[in-house]
Amino acid sequence: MQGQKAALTLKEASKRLGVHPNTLRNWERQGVIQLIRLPGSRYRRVPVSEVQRLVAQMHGQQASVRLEPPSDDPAMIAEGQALARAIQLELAALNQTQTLEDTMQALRGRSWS
Amino acid sequence: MVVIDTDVFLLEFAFHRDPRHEVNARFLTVVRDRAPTITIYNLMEILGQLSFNLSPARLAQWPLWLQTAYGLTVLWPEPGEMEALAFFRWEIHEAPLARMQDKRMAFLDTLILNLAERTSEAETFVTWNARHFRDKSSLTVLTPAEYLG
Repeated sequence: MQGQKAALTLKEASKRLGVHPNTLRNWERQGVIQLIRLPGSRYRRVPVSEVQRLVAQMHGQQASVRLEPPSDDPAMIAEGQALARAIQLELAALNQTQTLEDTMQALRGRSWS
Repeated sequence: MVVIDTDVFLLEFAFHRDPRHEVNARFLTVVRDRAPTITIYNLMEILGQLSFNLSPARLAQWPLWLQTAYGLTVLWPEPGEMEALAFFRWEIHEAPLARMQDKRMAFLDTLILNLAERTSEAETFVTWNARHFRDKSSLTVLTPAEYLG
């Protein structure tokens, strides 16, 4: 049974980790993960212990988002909204020649339509 | 929880003649009471774009005119229990690269979606470019018009 294996193929390990097999090869080069070389072969295996370690690390990382809420002070909200309107008016006065799609394409480096 | 893309805010601030402007503004008004969020990557992208037309002083006031005005909770990546360097490499290299290999995506798209998707409360990503993101994210992807239904 797969659960009793000491090592997994790159394909099996990449599936468990949710990454591409090439990512595992890159991780090996970078020392992120230790792979086992099969004797007399070019093939590599991933120790289950390494997969478990990375899964734990990745789960820890998945939980690692900090949420910074906005101010709920009514005076601050009113000030912020007034400032936002003022900025909109400032920017509306400019002669905008680009479209939103042009701008986003320049920012992301891909088509935005 | 809704995560909002950069284009929604650029449309609000800088593209007043765009035919979607009114719907976009209505979306931002409606979503304000529903704890909207934005990733720090989107936020910096907006500031970078607006920096060409705003004074440094105005730019520095973003917590007021962007975060507070629109009720935005800002999502920041955090290392959790990972060692700082390992996390940094994971955040800006390994995780984006895995996504690029899997879905063929632009770098900033990968940073934004990775952070949004690992925010456990996030359910919806709102962007005017929804068509592009729909088959690339585990989040529900909607345009502001679709969100308003």
